[in-house]
Amino acid sequence: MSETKVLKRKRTKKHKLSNGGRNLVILGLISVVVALATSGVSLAVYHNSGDIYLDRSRPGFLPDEDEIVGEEERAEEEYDFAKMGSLTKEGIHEYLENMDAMIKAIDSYEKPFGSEVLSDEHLGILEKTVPDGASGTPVENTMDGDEGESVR
Amino acid sequence: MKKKCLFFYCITLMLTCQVLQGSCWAEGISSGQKSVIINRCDILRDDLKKVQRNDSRTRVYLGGYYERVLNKFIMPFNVRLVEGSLSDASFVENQNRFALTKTAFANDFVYYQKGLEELIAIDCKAEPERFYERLVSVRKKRRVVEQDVEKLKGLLGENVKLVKGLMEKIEK
Repeated sequence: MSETKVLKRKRTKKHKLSNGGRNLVILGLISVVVALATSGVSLAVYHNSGDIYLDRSRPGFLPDEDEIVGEEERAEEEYDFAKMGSLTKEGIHEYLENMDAMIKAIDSYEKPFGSEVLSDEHLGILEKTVPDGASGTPVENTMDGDEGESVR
Repeated sequence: MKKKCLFFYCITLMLTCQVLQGSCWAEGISSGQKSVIINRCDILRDDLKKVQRNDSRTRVYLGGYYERVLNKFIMPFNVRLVEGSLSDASFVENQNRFALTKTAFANDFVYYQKGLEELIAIDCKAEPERFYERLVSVRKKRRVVEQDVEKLKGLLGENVKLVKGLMEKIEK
């Protein structure tokens, strides 16, 4: 009688343990699925909002060393026109001076988004450069990574 | 009445055909170009990736400058104008137009980048025609971004003129 009781107890213990293990696996799977789904949604939002195109921390888009140094210098130079106070001649003069510096910085980008960068000639896909039957070695590609835009 | 309608339809059809034909001629691809695209496919894709990277850099810097100009120059200046009862509709209009064009620039850039990304993803060895077709459309999108930059530049110049005019007024 006592032996059968012990056996029964052992069986129920085993049964309980296997249930617990199965539940743990299910929980693990659910958490993996939830993590994948939320990551997928956040990646979709990141891509569709266009933030991906402004993210320079992704591989291949990291800033060059000279850019980082330039940024540090720029941070020190930051100017803020005060919102309070009356407008005096000196104040306007200061505004114009700093605005001029900003315009110069913007103008340092020669032809930003200029159309020639994607032209047939620039990409080397001009028809005349290919001799008949030859395996197309077109005009020398002038794209050197700067695409003619000067960046401070 | 029927004759008039028929005539109208014919004219519309002819014009549509002409426009379509014109665009085909303008944006079509010759067999020579096709072979060049196929042969230079890998180089082209690398070049386009470089363009994408440089554009991203330019966008980040220009966007930062425009943001600073609007929030740290134009807006505080206009606040002070209002406080000093010197406000002029042209200043407010300039600020609004600058803010709107800045937003358009940001949106147009995303639109252009999506196009460029799709272009890079095309297998130009297998589909040179589709690649060129998409390249033409990306060029148009890039042109829109370029126009936004030109507009913003013009608005900045306008702002400087307005401020100089105000300074002359104060001096008098």
